[in-house]
Amino acid sequence: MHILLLDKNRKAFTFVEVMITTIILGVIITMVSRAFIHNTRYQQRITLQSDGDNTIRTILWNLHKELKVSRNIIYPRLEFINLQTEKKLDNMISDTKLVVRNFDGDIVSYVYRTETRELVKHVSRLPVDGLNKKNETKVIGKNIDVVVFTNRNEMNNLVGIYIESGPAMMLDSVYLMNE
Amino acid sequence: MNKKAVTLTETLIAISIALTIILPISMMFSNSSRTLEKTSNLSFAGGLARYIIQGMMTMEKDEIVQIPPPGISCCDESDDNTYFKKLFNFYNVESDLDSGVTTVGIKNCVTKLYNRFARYNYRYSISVAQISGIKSVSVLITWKEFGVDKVFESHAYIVAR
Repeated sequence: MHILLLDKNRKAFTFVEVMITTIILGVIITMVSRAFIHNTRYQQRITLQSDGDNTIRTILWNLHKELKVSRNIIYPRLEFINLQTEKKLDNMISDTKLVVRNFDGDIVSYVYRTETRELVKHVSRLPVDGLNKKNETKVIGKNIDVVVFTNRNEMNNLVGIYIESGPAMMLDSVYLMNE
Repeated sequence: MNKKAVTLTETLIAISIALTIILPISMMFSNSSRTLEKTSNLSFAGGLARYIIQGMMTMEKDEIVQIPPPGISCCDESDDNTYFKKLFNFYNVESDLDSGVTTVGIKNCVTKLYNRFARYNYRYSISVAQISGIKSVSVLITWKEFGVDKVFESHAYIVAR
């Protein structure tokens, strides 16, 4: 049988010591967790920016490659007159869609779909020797927030491209050489 | 008197060790953010230079003129700002429901873009040299990043109309 004896020399933390320790720990934990949360958000922002930059660069690379050898812009076209207002457009016109005639004479459209945040390319091929060629639709860019194509001159051969993906944005332009 | 406690020296050493660990980690995030911002600004400047040069391809030869440094601010509202004064025309936003140009985000892109121009003070200057019908054009895009002046140069030969 053990007998519990009270030892007067036994040391323990006083209430004040415990309180001070708790306060110091609380301050340290708050500082560290704030720094951690801040850095996590920072990291998320960096990732978003980096992903956005990559997405935009890839899309623009593809658009440059395809558009610079195209013939002319079919839509949005500058001689278009708004039938309701009978107002002629000035020197540029913007839209989320772009339709061009490519080097082979096929009709190529680029459409931004807001609901899926995708940029879709559709190619309507011209029949060759009476044979219909297969049309093609494919997604050329994902996770895009804004795409605006601007027809920049009356010759319909200069397109301005504005793309936003997350915090990243880019303004670019392509001259259609094969008019 | 035998009571042991943490001395000031021990506390200071502990804080120093903690800071030695925490500071490089937070600096790492800060540095990668700066590097990314630099890369992003550089490719944005590349886009602006292309925007100017591609525009020149359709211009009359008399329209391609020299703009000496420090150049023109991209968000300048005067007529001198030939290339960036007007970038979009959403005239059909309200009338043409099929256009797709109805989202708030798209309408806001103008503000966002000009805010970026103003934030980094993007400017452009152009130097032109005539070589027998061909124009040798150099476009300089300058901007301010973390208090430091940055520059991007792009060069093109243009057969002016």
